[in-house]
Amino acid sequence: MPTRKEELRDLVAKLIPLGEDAHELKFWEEIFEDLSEEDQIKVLENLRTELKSLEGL
Amino acid sequence: MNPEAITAEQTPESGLEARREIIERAREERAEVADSYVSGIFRNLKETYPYKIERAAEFVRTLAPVSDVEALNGIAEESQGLKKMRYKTAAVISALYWQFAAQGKIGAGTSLMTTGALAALRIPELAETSPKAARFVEAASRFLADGKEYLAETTKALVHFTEHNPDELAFDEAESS
Repeated sequence: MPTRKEELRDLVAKLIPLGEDAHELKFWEEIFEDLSEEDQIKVLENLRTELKSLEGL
Repeated sequence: MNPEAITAEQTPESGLEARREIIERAREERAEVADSYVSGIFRNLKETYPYKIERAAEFVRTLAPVSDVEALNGIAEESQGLKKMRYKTAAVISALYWQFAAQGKIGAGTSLMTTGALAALRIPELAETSPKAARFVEAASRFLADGKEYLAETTKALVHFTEHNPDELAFDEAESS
Protein backbone atom coordinates (compact mmCIF):
# COMPACT_ATOMS: atom_id res chain seq x y z
CA MET A 1 0.00 0.00 0.00
CA PRO A 2 1.67 3.24 -1.10
CA THR A 3 1.77 6.20 1.25
CA ARG A 4 -0.13 9.35 0.30
CA LYS A 5 3.11 11.04 -0.72
CA GLU A 6 4.05 8.10 -2.92
CA GLU A 7 0.64 8.16 -4.55
CA LEU A 8 1.00 11.88 -5.13
CA ARG A 9 4.37 11.38 -6.84
CA ASP A 10 2.87 8.67 -9.03
CA LEU A 11 -0.08 10.86 -10.03
CA VAL A 12 2.19 13.81 -10.78
CA ALA A 13 4.44 11.64 -12.95
CA LYS A 14 1.42 10.50 -14.95
CA LEU A 15 -0.26 13.91 -15.25
CA ILE A 16 2.69 15.88 -16.59
CA PRO A 17 2.90 14.00 -19.92
CA LEU A 18 -0.85 14.54 -20.27
CA GLY A 19 -0.47 18.32 -20.24
CA GLU A 20 -0.42 19.33 -16.58
CA ASP A 21 2.14 21.85 -15.49
CA ALA A 22 5.26 20.40 -13.93
CA HIS A 23 6.04 23.55 -11.91
CA GLU A 24 2.65 23.68 -10.22
CA LEU A 25 2.55 19.98 -9.44
CA LYS A 26 6.10 20.04 -8.12
CA PHE A 27 5.04 22.82 -5.78
CA TRP A 28 2.18 20.67 -4.51
CA GLU A 29 4.66 17.87 -3.92
CA GLU A 30 6.89 20.19 -1.90
CA ILE A 31 4.13 21.47 0.39
CA PHE A 32 2.15 18.23 0.55
CA GLU A 33 3.40 17.16 3.96
CA ASP A 34 2.46 20.54 5.44
CA LEU A 35 -1.15 20.20 4.34
CA SER A 36 -3.74 18.95 6.78
CA GLU A 37 -4.81 15.32 6.39
CA GLU A 38 -8.13 16.51 5.01
CA ASP A 39 -6.43 18.73 2.41
CA GLN A 40 -4.00 15.95 1.43
CA ILE A 41 -6.99 13.72 0.71
CA LYS A 42 -8.68 16.49 -1.28
CA VAL A 43 -5.59 17.04 -3.42
CA LEU A 44 -5.19 13.33 -4.10
CA GLU A 45 -8.85 12.97 -5.05
CA ASN A 46 -8.56 15.98 -7.30
CA LEU A 47 -5.51 14.58 -9.10
CA ARG A 48 -6.98 11.08 -9.37
CA THR A 49 -10.12 12.49 -10.99
CA GLU A 50 -8.10 14.68 -13.33
CA LEU A 51 -5.94 11.75 -14.39
CA LYS A 52 -8.96 9.55 -15.00
CA SER A 53 -10.62 12.26 -17.11
CA LEU A 54 -7.49 12.94 -19.16
CA GLU A 55 -6.81 9.27 -19.73
CA GLY A 56 -10.41 8.83 -20.86
CA LEU A 57 -10.09 11.33 -23.72
CA MET B 1 -17.95 15.60 -48.55
CA ASN B 2 -17.56 12.71 -46.19
CA PRO B 3 -18.98 13.65 -42.73
CA GLU B 4 -16.64 11.20 -41.03
CA ALA B 5 -13.63 12.96 -42.54
CA ILE B 6 -14.83 16.26 -41.06
CA THR B 7 -15.17 14.66 -37.63
CA ALA B 8 -11.71 13.17 -37.92
CA GLU B 9 -10.26 16.56 -38.84
CA GLN B 10 -11.96 18.28 -35.92
CA THR B 11 -11.05 15.69 -33.31
CA PRO B 12 -7.53 16.92 -32.44
CA GLU B 13 -8.77 20.46 -31.85
CA SER B 14 -11.80 19.43 -29.79
CA GLY B 15 -9.59 16.97 -27.93
CA LEU B 16 -7.20 19.78 -26.98
CA GLU B 17 -10.10 21.93 -25.84
CA ALA B 18 -11.47 19.09 -23.72
CA ARG B 19 -8.01 18.56 -22.21
CA ARG B 20 -7.70 22.27 -21.38
CA GLU B 21 -11.14 22.24 -19.74
CA ILE B 22 -10.32 19.22 -17.58
CA ILE B 23 -7.01 20.70 -16.46
CA GLU B 24 -8.51 24.10 -15.73
CA ARG B 25 -11.40 22.57 -13.76
CA ALA B 26 -8.97 20.51 -11.69
CA ARG B 27 -6.86 23.61 -10.96
CA GLU B 28 -9.97 25.52 -9.89
CA GLU B 29 -10.74 22.76 -7.41
CA ARG B 30 -7.18 22.71 -6.09
CA ALA B 31 -7.45 26.46 -5.59
CA GLU B 32 -9.69 25.83 -2.59
CA VAL B 33 -6.92 23.86 -0.89
CA ALA B 34 -4.31 26.41 -1.94
CA ASP B 35 -6.46 29.19 -0.53
CA SER B 36 -6.82 27.47 2.81
CA TYR B 37 -3.11 26.61 3.02
CA VAL B 38 -1.68 29.97 1.96
CA SER B 39 -4.28 31.93 3.93
CA GLY B 40 -3.26 30.10 7.07
CA ILE B 41 0.36 31.11 6.62
CA PHE B 42 -0.47 34.73 5.87
CA ARG B 43 -2.96 35.01 8.72
CA ASN B 44 -0.05 34.39 11.03
CA LEU B 45 1.98 37.03 9.30
CA LYS B 46 -0.80 39.59 9.38
CA GLU B 47 -0.99 39.23 13.14
CA THR B 48 2.78 39.43 13.55
CA TYR B 49 3.54 42.15 11.03
CA PRO B 50 0.41 44.27 10.51
CA TYR B 51 0.50 46.68 7.59
CA LYS B 52 -1.73 49.43 6.37
CA ILE B 53 -3.99 48.38 3.58
CA GLU B 54 -4.28 51.86 2.09
CA ARG B 55 -0.58 51.73 1.27
CA ALA B 56 -1.27 48.58 -0.68
CA ALA B 57 -4.11 50.27 -2.54
CA GLU B 58 -1.83 53.17 -3.37
CA PHE B 59 0.81 50.80 -4.66
CA VAL B 60 -1.65 49.10 -7.01
CA ARG B 61 -1.19 52.09 -9.29
CA THR B 62 2.53 51.40 -9.44
CA LEU B 63 1.99 47.72 -10.07
CA ALA B 64 -0.65 48.18 -12.78
CA PRO B 65 1.70 49.11 -15.66
CA VAL B 66 3.85 46.06 -15.07
CA SER B 67 3.37 43.73 -17.99
CA ASP B 68 6.15 41.20 -17.72
CA VAL B 69 8.02 39.25 -15.15
CA GLU B 70 11.30 41.11 -15.63
CA ALA B 71 9.61 44.39 -14.78
CA LEU B 72 8.04 42.88 -11.70
CA ASN B 73 11.37 41.46 -10.63
CA GLY B 74 12.83 44.92 -11.13
CA ILE B 75 10.34 46.38 -8.71
CA ALA B 76 11.04 43.58 -6.29
CA GLU B 77 14.80 44.14 -6.45
CA GLU B 78 14.43 47.88 -6.07
CA SER B 79 12.12 47.39 -3.13
CA GLN B 80 14.66 45.23 -1.31
CA GLY B 81 16.73 48.29 -0.57
CA LEU B 82 13.83 50.35 0.70
CA LYS B 83 12.15 48.89 3.68
CA LYS B 84 8.93 50.85 3.26
CA MET B 85 8.70 50.05 -0.41
CA ARG B 86 9.42 46.43 0.27
CA TYR B 87 6.53 46.28 2.68
CA LYS B 88 4.31 48.10 0.23
CA THR B 89 5.17 45.60 -2.47
CA ALA B 90 4.46 42.73 -0.17
CA ALA B 91 1.33 44.39 1.10
CA VAL B 92 -0.17 44.98 -2.29
CA ILE B 93 0.49 41.48 -3.51
CA SER B 94 -0.90 40.06 -0.30
CA ALA B 95 -3.88 42.40 -0.52
CA LEU B 96 -4.50 41.41 -4.13
CA TYR B 97 -4.24 37.81 -3.12
CA TRP B 98 -6.84 38.29 -0.40
CA GLN B 99 -9.13 40.22 -2.73
CA PHE B 100 -8.87 37.75 -5.57
CA ALA B 101 -9.26 34.74 -3.32
CA ALA B 102 -12.30 36.27 -1.62
CA GLN B 103 -13.91 37.37 -4.88
CA GLY B 104 -12.93 34.33 -6.90
CA LYS B 105 -11.41 36.55 -9.59
CA ILE B 106 -8.40 34.30 -9.92
CA GLY B 107 -9.64 30.82 -9.47
CA ALA B 108 -6.79 28.65 -10.65
CA GLY B 109 -4.67 26.96 -8.03
CA THR B 110 -1.60 28.01 -9.93
CA SER B 111 -2.48 31.67 -9.72
CA LEU B 112 -3.20 31.51 -6.02
CA MET B 113 -0.02 29.62 -5.31
CA THR B 114 2.04 31.93 -7.44
CA THR B 115 0.63 35.04 -5.87
CA GLY B 116 1.05 33.63 -2.39
CA ALA B 117 4.59 32.51 -3.17
CA LEU B 118 5.51 35.87 -4.59
CA ALA B 119 4.14 37.66 -1.56
CA ALA B 120 6.01 35.26 0.71
CA LEU B 121 9.34 36.04 -0.90
CA ARG B 122 8.83 39.76 -0.48
CA ILE B 123 8.51 39.39 3.28
CA PRO B 124 11.68 37.80 4.67
CA GLU B 125 10.22 37.72 8.18
CA LEU B 126 7.52 35.32 7.04
CA ALA B 127 9.90 32.38 7.29
CA GLU B 128 10.43 33.17 10.96
CA THR B 129 6.77 32.97 11.91
CA SER B 130 6.63 29.16 11.93
CA PRO B 131 8.46 26.09 10.58
CA LYS B 132 5.57 25.55 8.17
CA ALA B 133 5.95 29.11 6.86
CA ALA B 134 9.70 28.56 6.53
CA ARG B 135 9.14 25.47 4.40
CA PHE B 136 6.57 27.36 2.33
CA VAL B 137 9.04 30.18 1.66
CA GLU B 138 11.68 27.64 0.64
CA ALA B 139 9.26 25.86 -1.70
CA ALA B 140 8.02 29.21 -3.03
CA SER B 141 11.56 30.23 -3.82
CA ARG B 142 12.17 27.11 -5.88
CA PHE B 143 8.73 27.39 -7.50
CA LEU B 144 9.33 30.94 -8.63
CA ALA B 145 12.83 30.18 -9.85
CA ASP B 146 11.57 27.24 -11.89
CA GLY B 147 8.23 28.68 -12.95
CA LYS B 148 9.10 31.99 -14.58
CA GLU B 149 6.59 31.50 -17.36
CA TYR B 150 3.78 30.89 -14.92
CA LEU B 151 4.80 33.90 -12.92
CA ALA B 152 4.72 36.01 -16.06
CA GLU B 153 1.25 34.73 -16.92
CA THR B 154 -0.04 35.33 -13.42
CA THR B 155 1.41 38.81 -13.38
CA LYS B 156 -0.36 39.56 -16.64
CA ALA B 157 -3.62 38.30 -15.13
CA LEU B 158 -3.17 40.54 -12.10
CA VAL B 159 -2.36 43.54 -14.26
CA HIS B 160 -5.32 42.85 -16.53
CA PHE B 161 -7.58 42.66 -13.51
CA THR B 162 -6.28 45.87 -11.94
CA GLU B 163 -6.68 47.69 -15.26
CA HIS B 164 -10.19 46.48 -15.94
CA ASN B 165 -11.69 46.34 -12.47
CA PRO B 166 -10.41 49.42 -10.64
CA ASP B 167 -13.61 49.78 -8.62
CA GLU B 168 -13.25 46.32 -7.18
CA LEU B 169 -9.86 47.22 -5.79
CA ALA B 170 -11.41 49.75 -3.42
CA PHE B 171 -10.24 48.55 -0.04
CA ASP B 172 -12.45 48.55 2.98
CA GLU B 173 -11.78 51.80 4.84
CA ALA B 174 -12.44 50.24 8.20
CA GLU B 175 -9.74 47.71 7.45
CA SER B 176 -7.24 50.37 6.46
CA SER B 177 -7.42 52.37 9.66
